[in-house]
This record gives sequence, structure tokens and C-alpha cells, in this order.
Amino acid sequence: MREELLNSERLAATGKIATYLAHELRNPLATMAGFAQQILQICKERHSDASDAIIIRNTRIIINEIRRLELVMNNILRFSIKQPTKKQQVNLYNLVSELMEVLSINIEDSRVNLSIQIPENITVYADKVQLSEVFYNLVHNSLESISPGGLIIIKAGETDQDVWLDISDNGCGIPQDTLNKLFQPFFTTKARGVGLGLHIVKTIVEQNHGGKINIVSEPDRGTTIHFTIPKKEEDGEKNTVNRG
Amino acid sequence: MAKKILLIEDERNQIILISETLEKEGYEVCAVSNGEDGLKKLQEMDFNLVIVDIKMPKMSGLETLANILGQRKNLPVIIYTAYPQYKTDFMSWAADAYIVKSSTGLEELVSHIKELIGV
Repeated sequence: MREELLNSERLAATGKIATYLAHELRNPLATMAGFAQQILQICKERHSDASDAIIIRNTRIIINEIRRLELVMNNILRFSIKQPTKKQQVNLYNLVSELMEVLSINIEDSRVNLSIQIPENITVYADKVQLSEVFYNLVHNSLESISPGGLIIIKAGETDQDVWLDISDNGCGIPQDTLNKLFQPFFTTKARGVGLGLHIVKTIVEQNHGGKINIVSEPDRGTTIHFTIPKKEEDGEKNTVNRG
Repeated sequence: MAKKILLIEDERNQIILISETLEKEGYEVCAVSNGEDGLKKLQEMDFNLVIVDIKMPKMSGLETLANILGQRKNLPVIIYTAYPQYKTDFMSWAADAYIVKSSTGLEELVSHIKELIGV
């Protein structure tokens, strides 16, 4: 019965995903193509250091757009296709540091500050790829809600049973009346995007890892996403095949 | 004297790309990131043409287009969007051109601008 409901949900989602793809992939692809053409043009005319600076800047922009495209595609794939959860011991500090290195271009271009407050020895029993997607989605959401000069803080700690993580920003916040809808698929408060990110984050944390997630937010003050993941397999779910 | 184009577009990288491309073609570009600001700018300055995106915060491109044509009936307007499906919307018919963003969309945009207002 549950499987039938999921299949029906997937079918209903197909049309929405097609629209999502059409917009969310077309825009960045058009941008990348445009700048790539510019780079070619500049390379043809190249004769000064000023040209080099433009090449560097444009390349950074292209990388940004590619990352966004990857995130969109990953979310669609995770929503639509069953993928196994493969857990292993993951060092959180190393994982977050690697991800923030990848996201450094987005963070620099958004001109926001990032503070990582994670003890170096914390490990969690989790699917590394899925956990990366959780961070990508949450940090991207923060970057979209925050103004230049704002702050994103990633904190982690542990209890006897769980590892906990907080991702906070001092961005525009979320109205209270929409907080309980944020994890629904296709619900979004943003002008762009279709609202799959937080749904996927919740599925990964709760269904695939046996953890808990919640959001605390205040308009114009900022948002904190708090989630926990059990430290050991017996505290959470066994390796599973699951959506998300 | 360079012809002036008002660009109403909320994607920052698209603003850079479109502005630089059109400036290289000899146009003067003024960019704003939503329809409300676009309408204000139209009251402050004269433009030869407007480029408007559809999906934007505050006011959609189609609503912006309706307001522009209410103020300046003969001003050429081009819709430049990632959404092909609004092409059949009644309001889109009022625009002088409807161009879908793609790897060749920018060339198409320049070509339509030249056709509509010259260089």
C-alpha cells in the first residue's frame, strides 16, 4: 500500500519535475554557454592582463552555475529514483571542510562569512554522499536567504547516542505560518526553485538515518536547522533501500 | 548617442552576461532586478526598448509587461525567459518578441533588438 502511494506520488510529480527541469536547468545552461562564448571571444582577442582577469572571473561564474545545476539534478534524481543507503563512519569535520572548499566560490561571491565550529574528532555512521547532499542543500538555502556581510554558522556536537548539527544564518528568516510546510515536496517560499531540497534533507536524515530534524526561524532575524543522527547503526536504521 | 535598453532580470549572472553583450554591441543598458523597480526606472528615464524576464520576485514579468504597455504603449518589449510555456499566454502576445533562454538565446536576443531599434 505504501509502495503504491509512493508510485502514485512519483507519477504526479513527473509533470512538476519536467517544469522544474525546464526552468532550473535552462537558465544556468544558457548562462554557462554565454560566458563560455565570451571566454572564447576574449581568448581570440587576448593581448593584456585585463583580459586574464575577465577570464578568471567568468570561469568562476561558470563553475558556480555548474554546481547549481548539479544540486538541482541530484535533488531530482534523489526524489525520483530509489537509491540505497550505504553507511560508513564519517568524520564530520573533514566532510564539512571538504564541502565548504567546494562551495567557497559561492560563499565568496555572496560575500558572506562562514564559521565552522565542529570538533575534529566527531564521527557519525552515515551515507557520506547523502550527508553531503544535506549540507549542500542547507548551505545553499542559507546563501539564498542571506545578504552580503551576513553570517552562516555550522556547529556540531555529540551526546551518548547522537551527533547533532546546527546550520544557522542571519538571513531573511521564514514566516511562522509556513514553517510546518517547509518539508513538504514542492513547497517553497523562494521566487525560484520548486521546493525539493528540504523534503530531501528530511528524508535523508529521518527515513534513511533514523535521525530528527527541526527548523527554528524568525523573519528578519534568521534561521537555524537542527538535526541529529544516531552515532551507531543499532541506534538508527540498518542499511536500507529508500527514496531520498 | 547610444540607444538605451532597460533590462528587468533577477538572475545576477544573466544581468552581467546580457548587459556586457549589449554594451559591446553599442547599447547603453540599465539593469534592475524586479518589475516594480523597472516601472519606477521607466518613469525616471527614457528607454528605446525593454527586456523583461517572466519569473521574478514581487511582480511577474507578464504583470510588469501589462504595466509597461499601460504607461508606454509604443515602447518595444522583449520577453526573455526560461519558461517556454508562457508563450501561449494572452499577455505574451503583446510583447514584440518572446525569446526562450538557451545556448543560442542571447544571439537571438541581440538580433531581435537590432531589428526593432537598430544599433
